[in-house]
Amino acid sequence: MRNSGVALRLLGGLCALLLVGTALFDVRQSAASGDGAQEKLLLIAPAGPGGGWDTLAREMQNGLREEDLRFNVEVRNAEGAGGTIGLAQTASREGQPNVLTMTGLGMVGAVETTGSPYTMADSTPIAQLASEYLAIVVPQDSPYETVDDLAEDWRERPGTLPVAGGSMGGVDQIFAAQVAQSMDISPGEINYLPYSGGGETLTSLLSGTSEIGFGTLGDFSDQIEDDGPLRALAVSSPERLDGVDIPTMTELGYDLEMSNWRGVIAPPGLTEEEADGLEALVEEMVASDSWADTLERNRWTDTYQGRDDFEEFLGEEISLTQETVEELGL
Amino acid sequence: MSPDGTDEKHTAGTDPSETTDGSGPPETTDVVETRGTETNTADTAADTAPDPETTVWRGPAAWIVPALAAILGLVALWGAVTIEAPPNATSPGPGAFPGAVGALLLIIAVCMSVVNLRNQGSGKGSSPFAWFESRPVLLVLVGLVAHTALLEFVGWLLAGALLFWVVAYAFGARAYLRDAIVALSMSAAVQVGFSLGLGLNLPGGFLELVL
Amino acid sequence: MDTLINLMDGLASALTPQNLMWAFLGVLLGTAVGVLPGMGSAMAVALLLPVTFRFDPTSAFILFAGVYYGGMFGGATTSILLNTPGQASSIATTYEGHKMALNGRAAQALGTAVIGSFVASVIGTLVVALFAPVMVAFALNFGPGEYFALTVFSFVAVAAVVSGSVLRGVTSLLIGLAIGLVGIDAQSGAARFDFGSSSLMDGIDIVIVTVGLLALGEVLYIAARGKSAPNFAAIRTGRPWLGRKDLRRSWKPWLRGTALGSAFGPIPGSGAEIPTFLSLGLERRLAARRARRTGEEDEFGQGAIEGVAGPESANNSSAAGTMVPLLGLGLPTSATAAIMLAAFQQYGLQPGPVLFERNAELVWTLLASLLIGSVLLLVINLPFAPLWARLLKLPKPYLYAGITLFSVLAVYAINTSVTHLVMLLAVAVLGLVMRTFGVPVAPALIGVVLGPIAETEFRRALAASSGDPSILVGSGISIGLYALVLLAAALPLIAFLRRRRADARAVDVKEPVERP
Repeated sequence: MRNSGVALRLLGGLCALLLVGTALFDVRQSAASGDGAQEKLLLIAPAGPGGGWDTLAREMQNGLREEDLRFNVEVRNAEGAGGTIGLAQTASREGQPNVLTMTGLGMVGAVETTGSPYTMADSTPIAQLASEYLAIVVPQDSPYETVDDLAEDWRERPGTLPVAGGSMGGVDQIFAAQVAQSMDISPGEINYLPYSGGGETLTSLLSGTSEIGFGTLGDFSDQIEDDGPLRALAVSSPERLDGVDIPTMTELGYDLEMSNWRGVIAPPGLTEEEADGLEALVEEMVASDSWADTLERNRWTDTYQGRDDFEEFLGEEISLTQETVEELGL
Repeated sequence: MSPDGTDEKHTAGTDPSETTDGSGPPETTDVVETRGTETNTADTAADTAPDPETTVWRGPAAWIVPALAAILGLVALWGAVTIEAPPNATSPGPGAFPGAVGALLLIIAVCMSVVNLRNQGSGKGSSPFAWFESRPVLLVLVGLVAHTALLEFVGWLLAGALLFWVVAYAFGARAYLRDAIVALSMSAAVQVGFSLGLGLNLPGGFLELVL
Repeated sequence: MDTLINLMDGLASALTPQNLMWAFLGVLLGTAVGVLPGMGSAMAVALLLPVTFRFDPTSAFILFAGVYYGGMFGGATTSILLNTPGQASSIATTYEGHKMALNGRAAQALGTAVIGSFVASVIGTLVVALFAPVMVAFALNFGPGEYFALTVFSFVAVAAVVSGSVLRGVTSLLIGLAIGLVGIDAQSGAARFDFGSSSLMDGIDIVIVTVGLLALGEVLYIAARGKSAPNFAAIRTGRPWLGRKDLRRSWKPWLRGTALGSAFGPIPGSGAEIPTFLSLGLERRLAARRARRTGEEDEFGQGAIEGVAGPESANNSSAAGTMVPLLGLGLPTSATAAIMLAAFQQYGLQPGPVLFERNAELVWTLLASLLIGSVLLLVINLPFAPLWARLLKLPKPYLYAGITLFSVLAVYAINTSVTHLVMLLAVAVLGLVMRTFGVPVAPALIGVVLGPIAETEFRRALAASSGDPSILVGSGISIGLYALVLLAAALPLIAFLRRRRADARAVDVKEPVERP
């Protein structure tokens, strides 16, 4: 009895030692920075699993590994406040050259609407990666056949026509506001029903709660095909998209071009070389075959922009968004 | 998990019912019987102090819950009045629901106060302070606060072990060394299982710099 | 008949040793992730998504199905043993499940949960296979007015959970509703009760509330009670398996729970919480009625096995139900489903009305993999039930230290944020106060879960109709639900009045002086 007690105790101690050893190994592993392709890279997705930014981050992780550019890539979700929590985390990592944060129009909008203490200026823009375009959709049996039909009716009753889209201050609402504006309707007047995502917007349209839907084309692409339950009236792209038979807004005579773009930013306070290094890494990844595959799989349009172009573009987007948000009164 | 495993065996050894695991003979009747006795043991264990859900409050402590409800109600009402609704918000606006909840909380606070006053007169009930032991509670809270404060600096492994040890101490564990070993292995097991195994990011703290 | 043949074909193509291995891994991973409240199956599926890029679709679906069902069940384990639901859909399980564990019947509770999950997954999957198109049409009848009616109905249905003082139950519910108010208001975009903190903008995560009120609150409360607290180690574990009597009492709740889950799972947005609460309420009412009619003891409140069997089946069959809008409309109704949709698209599967015609083979393989996933769920978890139950035999200090460690980990895992730990601390202290003063915590959880849904749908309905309240009762579904609400409220009231009259008469006869 005594002996077995001692043996058990020894065994327990041994196991404890083994566990702690493994744990220490894990700590070391996650702390290791490494060199070259082994260098650690942290991708911050400022959204929960399953969101657009999360998808982008995981696709990048996959692409970087597949192309042997970086092996030690970690995706970290920093969900909250429209992406500004992720922005805050990025801003607080000042000077760290191994962090990339996913960004996009949604984050630019959230900075304006949530009163975030950090703005896009607290980061180093690296590159724009891809875009998705937005679409105006109606149920199959809707009386609106064209955007003109819609504009006519909407001008008459902007306050009572229920329209659906993503969350308040998000890309979809900015799009809805700009569409309204292009039709000479005051964006502050429209009856916008916010939903938590493209899927819910779809239900809202199909259940007859709302009459018009605004959202990313990809969210509806399965439903607008052939004799699906929805029809798309227009898309926001500058030119017609390959293989998509939907007129653009500009083509229909409305002055509106908009994209739900996605890109990456790095923490502030990087040296010129560090920022160039990150840009080169992203550029190399984007040039690969596996990335082409990624774009196709997710139905993203390639709108790659390097650092300089992206920075200029970002500036324009920020001032445009500020204008719209002001009109919406958010 | 091993230290727990050994503990499990120790306790299991002392309980004869454990050895019949799975291979126990008869079916239904046995279940009913064992259950009856178990309920009794559980009851006697809890009987030493009154069940708070059924006791009537008394003394100054009786005013804590009504006060809490009133404070929450006031905060909700204050929010309802001060929330700035965007100009195009449809009615009912963002303040309506908080207003309703706040008003109901205040009403409930008043109801509870009335009940309290009545009970005070009748002399029924008991105060929870009769059985409330504040020392272990404070210990657990201190452990939690320390863990929260230290987590990012000393890392999960040590902060977690510290928390485990403090809570175990608060619950009466006094085999300091064994507790420490168990604590460390528990926190290490979590690190191995969830960080190494499932890819959850646990902070390494200063260990990252040392190793 | 065609469907059955198709399903058999699907099974044949899915049943390879390699796929079984993936299903096994999936269930294991899902259960592991489901056990930790902060992680959830969405996280696990997101982690796996890049890995599956290299798989053939069948293996990927099987892996996902395993994770999905495993996650739904994993939450039950902690609900029963530690009083900590892994996700909102297992909150309903804690009420009776943990009480059963306190009575030494943890193994039975886990057993009925596993088998219930299995039964529900199998039936739920078959229902999806056979009736998906019809169910899609039904689900689309739900606009905000109907949702609001549904939440009102759920509130009334779960009122049964509240026992003891009505005043304290209502207080708890209101506290829950107040907690649910925190965060950006989705309808107007206005920040409410954020007190200037950006972490509060998204509200207080449901995991923080459940872990704080239930698990940590309990730890603090037990600490406060000192020696007068119930001691798990003194509880005899009892028989490790379900007895015949348990089975007899479980099978009906399994089927009823499955039916509720299958009915409400496909409705986008209702999630798995509403059917679990409805199932719990239903079982409780039925038990009370049985007690009145046959004199059989009503164990609700002390650990009734029906209260575990029902909700656990409901959450798994509603998990199967979410496949209906996903496959029928390409409409994801949960975060997990959203990620699975991404996976479908990567294999060229286009969910939508024509899916069953265009990609028939893949769909049937998917449904077959769901079936395989549920079988493996049973095979893997049933033998573990008695093992899990023995966790409670740990010495008390280690058990509670372990629960504390686990709670903190769970909350940290939500967003790897220390701010959440601070919120957890505050909620745990609230939990302690509520317990100490005998305010039940169950209604608070219901308030936190259902309150925001009710508010959103109410305001959305009025916004959609530009302020016309008739939208709230504008359809047969909502009128039907309100009628049920009235019925549910009226029946106990009538019974109560009748009993009181009878009592009064009896008292009058015996001791007429007693009446105040």
